[in-house]
Amino acid sequence: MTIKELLPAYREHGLGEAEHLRVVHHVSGCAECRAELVLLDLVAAEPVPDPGEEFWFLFPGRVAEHAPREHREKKGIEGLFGAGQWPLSVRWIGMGAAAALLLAVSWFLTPPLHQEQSLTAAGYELSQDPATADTMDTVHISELNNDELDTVSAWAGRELAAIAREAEPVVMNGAIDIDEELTTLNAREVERLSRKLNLLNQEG
Amino acid sequence: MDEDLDLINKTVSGDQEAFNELVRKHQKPLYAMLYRMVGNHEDASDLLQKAFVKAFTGLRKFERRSAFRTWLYQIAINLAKNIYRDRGRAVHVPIDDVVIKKEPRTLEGMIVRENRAFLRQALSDLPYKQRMTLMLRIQEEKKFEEIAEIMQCSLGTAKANYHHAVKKLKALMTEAQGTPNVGTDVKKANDETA
Repeated sequence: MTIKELLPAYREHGLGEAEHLRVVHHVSGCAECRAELVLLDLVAAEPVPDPGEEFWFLFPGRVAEHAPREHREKKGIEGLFGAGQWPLSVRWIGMGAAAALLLAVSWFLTPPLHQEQSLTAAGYELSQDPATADTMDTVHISELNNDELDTVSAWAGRELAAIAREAEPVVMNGAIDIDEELTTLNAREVERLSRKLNLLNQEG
Repeated sequence: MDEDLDLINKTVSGDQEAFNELVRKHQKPLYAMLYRMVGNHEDASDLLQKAFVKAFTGLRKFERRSAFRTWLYQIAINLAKNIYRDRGRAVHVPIDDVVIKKEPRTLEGMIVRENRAFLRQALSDLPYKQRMTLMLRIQEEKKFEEIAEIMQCSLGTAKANYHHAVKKLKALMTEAQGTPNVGTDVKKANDETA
């Protein structure tokens, strides 16, 4: 390595002992190298004004403020979703949330329809007659002729008998306190019940 | 360097404070280098901010084959290069550094001031790569190996740029000391001092 190549390290005290002595010996007799050292010292001594502690204190915040927002958020989310995967995950979460919201809104906007369908379905079960289920409409009793009234009466009698059969063991076993239940009926209901019992007694 | 890598890993995991720590660690030496390159606080602080923002946004691309500091200097120098070239190598020199009215009126002070003004003029006249190499070697005290990495050139080119810079600087300084403009300012200052 030439002396000129060693000069920068020499002025930084970065040479080993042998090289240091070599430079010292050369420079003592070489005006050009001495001038070069003076020049290098002058370059190195170029002053840089300090902007002040306040500038340095605020500077990291200034950098953060100017960093693109997507990078700041991206880095925050990266830990949760893994590098390079988060944009897709977030997109899917967003789409899922939108779909769920749409379904919820549509469900709340149409509750009467669901209720009607549900009640109608219950009615089909009660009728136990799929053939008539589709055509079943509400009909006032005054619109029925005698034959139809007989049919309805027979159906009601069967239904009540079935209910009585199901209720009897429960009442007999004491699961229901019949006296307590009767106290909840008003006078008209008691009268109707009495008539129905008499009718059943007559039929045997 | 290990400390830098630790802070980089934390930053990539979403720790903003870790990056703030990286900024605090490197902001002063990088500012000094940029100030010497552009010659004023406004441009130097603007470039400093841009360099750190660019480092932050590109941190995932940092391959860690070199030191973070070297990579950061690469970014800063590439950013500053544009300003330097746009100015046609005309470096702003604050007028107070040329006219010595406010300085101590000593002969030694005047000589230092005079030399400084000549030097700045000469430095600004150096080709970009030579000037950067000289600054990195003498002002930043970086080894030629690191300079080669920062300047993205071979070790031989870095050394050659340095030697050409010193040689040309000497010639420019000699030439500048005979320049009427600078001489006039110094003469005025001498008259005021007398």
